[in-house]
Amino acid sequence: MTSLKISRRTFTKNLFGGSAAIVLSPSLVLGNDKESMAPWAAAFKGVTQDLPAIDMTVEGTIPAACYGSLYRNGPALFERDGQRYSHWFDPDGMIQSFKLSAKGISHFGRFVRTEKFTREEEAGRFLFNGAGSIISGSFPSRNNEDINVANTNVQPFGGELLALWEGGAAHRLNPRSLETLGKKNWRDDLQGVPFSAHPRIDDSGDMWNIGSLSMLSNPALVLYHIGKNGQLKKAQVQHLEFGGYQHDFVLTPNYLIALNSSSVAHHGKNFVDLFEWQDSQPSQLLIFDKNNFSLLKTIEVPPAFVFHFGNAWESGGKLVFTASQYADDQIMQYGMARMAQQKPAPYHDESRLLRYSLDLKTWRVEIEQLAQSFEFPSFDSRFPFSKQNLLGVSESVARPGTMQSVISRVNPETGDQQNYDYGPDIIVEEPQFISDGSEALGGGYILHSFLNYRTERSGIAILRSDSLSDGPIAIAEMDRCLPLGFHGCFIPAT
Amino acid sequence: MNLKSTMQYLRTLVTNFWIGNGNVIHRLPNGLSFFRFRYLHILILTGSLAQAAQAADIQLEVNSITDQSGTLYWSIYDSENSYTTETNAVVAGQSKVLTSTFSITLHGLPHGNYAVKLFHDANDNGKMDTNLVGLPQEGYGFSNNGGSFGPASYSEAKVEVKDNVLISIRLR
Repeated sequence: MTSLKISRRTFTKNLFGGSAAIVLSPSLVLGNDKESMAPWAAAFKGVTQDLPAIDMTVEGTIPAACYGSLYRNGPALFERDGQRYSHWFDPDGMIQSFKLSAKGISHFGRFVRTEKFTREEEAGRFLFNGAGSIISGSFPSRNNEDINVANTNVQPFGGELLALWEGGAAHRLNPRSLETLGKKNWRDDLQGVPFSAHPRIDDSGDMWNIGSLSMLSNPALVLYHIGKNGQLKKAQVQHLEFGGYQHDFVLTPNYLIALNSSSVAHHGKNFVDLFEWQDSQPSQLLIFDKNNFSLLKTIEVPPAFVFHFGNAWESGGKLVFTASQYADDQIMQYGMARMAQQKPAPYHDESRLLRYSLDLKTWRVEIEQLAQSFEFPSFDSRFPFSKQNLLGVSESVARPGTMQSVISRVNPETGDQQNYDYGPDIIVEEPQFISDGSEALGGGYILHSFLNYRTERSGIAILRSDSLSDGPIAIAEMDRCLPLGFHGCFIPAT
Repeated sequence: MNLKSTMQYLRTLVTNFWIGNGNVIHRLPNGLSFFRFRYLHILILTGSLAQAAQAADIQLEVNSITDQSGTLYWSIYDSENSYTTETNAVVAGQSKVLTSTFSITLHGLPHGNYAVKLFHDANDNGKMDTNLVGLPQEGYGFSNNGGSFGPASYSEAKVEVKDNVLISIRLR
């Protein structure tokens, strides 16, 4: 697949230089709404109310190992009182629950009742600017929590679900009703401190996380270690040389590794606007000792922008991890705005799957490319520190510049790839690995949600992890068009 | 947005107050005599309703107070330096918070530019509560509701007073 590298200049060229008609179109030059909608505009239409439970139409057989609940979180409320968010970071989070059982599959969805959601629901309009959108007539905000939309991830912890956002507190939810129980308070002085949407669970059940303060104009990173009982074991603030955007991190048996990216916070109108891509600023791998959070080493690497990392392992004196990496931050600055505005591609350089190998003695880094297009990496979470195949989504080689329609599995050693392409009408979302009950690493099923944007029907599909290129063994759809989401989890039935 | 300075400001705002018996407080040892002079000046005018030439009334109104508890502190400055350093407030005060709104009228202020800072000590612990990384956890505000992404600068907060004026602030 050709990599479409977009600097600010080339993107302008792509946008305006394509044809004379486009150049002359005043609507495009003015950037107003007359520009044609993307074919997949329905994926970003959003919903305005909770979605009551309905049964889905199932084809194929649901393996008993897949009985349980798939939960997903994503930006869902795009518009109030005629005003629409202009960035995908901003719509209020809604949790989608898909319950799989011998009786079939049912779905319901519920907005997270953040303070922001409740206040704006009452007011009937948006009250605050978003992380990436400017709202006319908005109120000044007290702090980051005023715009906490809890829209990025949902993960189980201590018998509850946590609805996660990266700029502030996690929200606790009842896993059955999805009712919001309040904000997660790890410790009084940590209230409202950013807690990333990608906490990682180690092989003992403890939870680890970062919280980036860069988006609050403070070049610092908070590190968290939480016991499996929910007790905070340690929280520490690390000051950084510069405030690069950070979304996720790497956890290994002995280290916690953060990437201080070359998208650096300066001044701006909102969180996203603060960040500016700095080609001349090497990114930094920050290697922390997991035991005491001391910063062992800062390693400069070529300018990088990463939302998501795969898992990591240590073997033969090396530490290895994978990253879905972009050439720059255009995906955040431009692509996610285009998507929310329901406008067509080109969005961004594709995220390539890279493998970083660090020599633990010399700290020399080798970076190799494993796949040209790969996002939303996931794996068999029972083995967080084992070398194992990564699951993810990718864009079709045959249809560059479209949305991701392919479920992929990549071998992190060889780069060997297995794919299943659902075709041009389907957008696939983050896959979940489900064990078939055996002890074998990676043996089981892949469960993922999708949207058919032509029929405006959402669904979920199940594939076998060892033969995913054969396509789904079960597929369920409904007459409901869910907005595209970010991340989620699967909790097996007990 | 510089949150460190927000915090410094908010902490200073509170710690600089010397809390008196009445509803009006004064502060800062360094400007005490000056302040008292201004303070008396305002009290006298309040009492007599005298209308000095070149003087006007400010009605300060605060709304959207979400927690109906604790104490609202307010201070009015008449220069960039005093606003920024939180010294030499023209007048400052405190009031118990019982409702979602607060209003006070200050009489006989000389014509000029003024800027207001507010802080709501909702749990009456005498300080602006912040979290580990210094983010404010209690309400505050500025005239003009300035500073949508961080604290308001003097130029964002200043109000020209040449007639009687209503300064309405939404506590954020």
